[in-house]
Amino acid sequence: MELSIRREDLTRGLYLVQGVVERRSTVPILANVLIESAEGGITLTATDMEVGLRVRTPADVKRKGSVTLNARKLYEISREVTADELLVKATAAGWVEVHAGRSKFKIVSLDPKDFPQLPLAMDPKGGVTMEVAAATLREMIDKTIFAVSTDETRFNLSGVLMEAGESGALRMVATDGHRLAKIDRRVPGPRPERGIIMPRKGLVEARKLLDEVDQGDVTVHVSPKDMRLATPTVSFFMRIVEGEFPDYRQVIPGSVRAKARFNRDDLLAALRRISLLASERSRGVKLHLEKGKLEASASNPDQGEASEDIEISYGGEALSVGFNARYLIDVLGVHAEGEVIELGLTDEVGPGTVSGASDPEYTYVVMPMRL
Amino acid sequence: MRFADVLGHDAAIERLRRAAATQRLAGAYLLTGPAGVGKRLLADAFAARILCAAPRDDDACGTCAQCTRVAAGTHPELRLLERDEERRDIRIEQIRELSRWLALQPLMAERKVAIVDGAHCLSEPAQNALLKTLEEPPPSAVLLLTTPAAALLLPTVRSRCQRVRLDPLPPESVARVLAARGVAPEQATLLAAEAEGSPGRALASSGDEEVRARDAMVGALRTLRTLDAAALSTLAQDLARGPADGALAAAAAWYRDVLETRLTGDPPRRHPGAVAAVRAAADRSRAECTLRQLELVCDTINALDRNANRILAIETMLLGLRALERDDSPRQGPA
Ligand SMILES: [Zn+2]
Repeated sequence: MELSIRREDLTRGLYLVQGVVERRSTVPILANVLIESAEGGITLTATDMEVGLRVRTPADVKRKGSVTLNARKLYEISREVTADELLVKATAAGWVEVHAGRSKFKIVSLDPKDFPQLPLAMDPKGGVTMEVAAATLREMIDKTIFAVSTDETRFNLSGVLMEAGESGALRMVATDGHRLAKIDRRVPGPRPERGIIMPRKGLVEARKLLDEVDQGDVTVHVSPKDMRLATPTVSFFMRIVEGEFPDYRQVIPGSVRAKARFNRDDLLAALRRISLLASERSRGVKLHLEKGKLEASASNPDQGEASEDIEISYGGEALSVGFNARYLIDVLGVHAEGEVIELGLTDEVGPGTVSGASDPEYTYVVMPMRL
Repeated sequence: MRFADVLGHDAAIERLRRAAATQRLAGAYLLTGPAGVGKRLLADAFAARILCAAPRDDDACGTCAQCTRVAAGTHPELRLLERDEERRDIRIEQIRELSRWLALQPLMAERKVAIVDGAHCLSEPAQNALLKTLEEPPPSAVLLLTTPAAALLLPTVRSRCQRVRLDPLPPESVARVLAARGVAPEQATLLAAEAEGSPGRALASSGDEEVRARDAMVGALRTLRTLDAAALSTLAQDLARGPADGALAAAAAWYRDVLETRLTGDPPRRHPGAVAAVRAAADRSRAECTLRQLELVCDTINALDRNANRILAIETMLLGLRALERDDSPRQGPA
């Protein structure tokens, strides 16, 4: 293979694939990026076999072929050299020369045949394909991923469920058993027949890619074994979690006893301050509701106590419920600044709900704690 | 690695073949047996069989897309977990990462296989973390644990695994493994006799450096009573720097042969090429003395396993062996 490529193009492509290169050193070829000649340029592919990424980038291919080079090294070379154009040339078997201005690098290439085959094609048999705005997908991920369980042994909770909502919307749900986040968004296209569970790590990588897309659309493909994303220049796949997501519907309360409305920023700021004195282990804060007022308080036998009240719109009877401050801060953090939030409470043991007053399609359920 | 490449262990292989053929795979297997007997090879072969897309004669085909990736180490459904070289045990973080991986849908094959090599190195928290996975393994996951010391695993971990016991191989089989790796037949017989049924151990002691260390050790034992303290100290330093394990095993084998020859009069099994030297040593010493020498060597092997100072342990052993021998026959004074 022989090609010349603009440094800028190579650097950007390598920057994108960088993130998914295998970090464990047990399989050397997975530390490499696979460079293949393609229509109008080259593709750069990297994987850790849980996620994989292929970037198409323009290049002037003089001789077709493929090589694999250490992704990290090539990226650093591409960033460090000053020439605008790099020449990449496979010489003897196993060696590749990179020329950039007056610099010349001779790098080991591992056999491309040993590079794993990845499910990156966007015309696969089985599964469904949708066009979704990148911004919508970003929002859905951001508003659920924080509720994913961190307990690896509860593997069916170790990711975000994607499925068809009752109303035909696209739905994502995550829960760790203490709280649950569920979001529905109307996007065109068919829905997967069965829900899939997307693991946290795959979503984190997908999320980075979606940032690159900015305002455009992405093609989402859901198959029984994996989930793929594609833009005109990038293809991505993630393996999905095996197993059934638990029946989360029974967790969402049909109705709540008390509803209070307040400004998202007020409670978020108050909780951040008050939780400084919450016990490190439980992170518990007490919310006390009375007419027009919410008092948040925390105490820690070793350090002291704190309380703060904010103005709310509430006309019901007085009520006190304890929560893990983290669980409330997480969800308020993903709501838009200045948004009016509706907090629903039942009693000291019943679930609480948090939602945007103008967005009933995003629901958050949180279990109280005894303080 | 295929079943066909695994020497011996016919019963165990037959059992695993049948389990794979009938799709009656347990969630976890525990392969036990002495170090170097072939546990890891069998685990590799079983993993290959489970993942192979076109098995032939109940064995991995070795050529399909799955098999080539298994061989290249790039199969997405195969993962190996072992102790990091610089660590004392397999850490809980490694088990957490493995559990996370085990939860993923298989990409290429129907199953996914994780090999935990040297499972006795799992720290107790790591074992407890693994226990959760063993109690409720993801549907398509198969875990293969190998260990020479199953007793070091929590009973709860052991009881969740199907036990596959690998017995020591007969010396002829071990010799055949060595011969297939290019070890000269005479040397192969010698090493096989010392290896206590473990081809891995025999192979580990078949390298040039290992052979030199063993020769130096056995050479010293033959003339022990004539060596001065400085010579023993030099030998101890040389051995401690090199592959001492094989040399110590050779010392144990030497005393075993001397003892057997003394008690039975039979030619030495482990040193068929040194009949005269072994007989001479047997004639020189009383059995109790040789027995105590053998014990001293075994104690030293154990001490080194527990990370004793190598030079010190070996030098002390050599001096002790010489003292036993000199005390045994006071007629011959120090050289
Ligand atoms: Zn095969």
